[in-house]
Amino acid sequence: MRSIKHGLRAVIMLVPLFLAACGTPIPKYQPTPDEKVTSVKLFGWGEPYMCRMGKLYELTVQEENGTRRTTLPTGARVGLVNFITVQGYQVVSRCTARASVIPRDGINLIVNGVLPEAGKCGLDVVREDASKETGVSMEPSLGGPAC
Amino acid sequence: MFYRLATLAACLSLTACATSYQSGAGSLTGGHYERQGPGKLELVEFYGNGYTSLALAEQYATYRCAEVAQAKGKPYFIMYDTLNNAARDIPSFRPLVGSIQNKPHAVSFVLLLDSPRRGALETKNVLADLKQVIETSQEKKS
Repeated sequence: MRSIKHGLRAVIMLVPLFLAACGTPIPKYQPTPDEKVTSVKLFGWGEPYMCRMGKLYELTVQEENGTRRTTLPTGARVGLVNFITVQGYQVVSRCTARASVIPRDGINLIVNGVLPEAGKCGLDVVREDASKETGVSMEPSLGGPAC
Repeated sequence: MFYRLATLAACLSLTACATSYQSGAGSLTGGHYERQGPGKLELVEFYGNGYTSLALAEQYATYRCAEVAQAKGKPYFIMYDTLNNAARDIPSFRPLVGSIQNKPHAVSFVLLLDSPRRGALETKNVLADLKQVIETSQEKKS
């Protein structure tokens, strides 16, 4: 009976260790010095991640004059993943939105994390376009999840 | 008699708890927020608490859009419910309304205009149409 108790204790102690080992941290995207990137303004909800060649990266977000910005590598399709977490009283709602784009040199993008509705949430991706009355235009490369 | 009064008091206190028309800055129960951008648009939002209806959040957000237009001297404005629709120039006559954890929110991307065009709302008309709703909110607050 005593050995069972000891065994159970050992298992309980080992479980958090196993769980910690499984949680591999998501790497932060760091562009290489020769890599071309474009600026992305972030609006709305969520924390942005990028998926490239099957690997998920956390995007570094910088805030300047109330506007959040990040960068994306240009020239190839990248997946955008937006994780939204809303914490309420004893309730946490989570939602993930996915899209993909091909960022281009000299074309700045705007990403808007749309609020969750009935468990769903969205991701708007447009171009900054000063020639338009609204200042934004459609991003032609916008596509579905790419990871 | 006591129970009737208690029920009435409870109902009144619950009604009083709904988010009134107010700035959300520094408010615990929500309110309206606005900021410039993205692009040439203004982002207007309203967050209510659990006692605020979706319809009321929508009306408050619409009224705030008109107030933002008025403050900038623009007689007309266009609302877009999403950024993608703003990029496609597909106007909406109401904000995007939803709820998170039973709390309503309304959001609109607003284009301020000097002259009318397709999908535009007249600032003074919106302010006049929703004046009663806002006044009722202010009366409850006071």
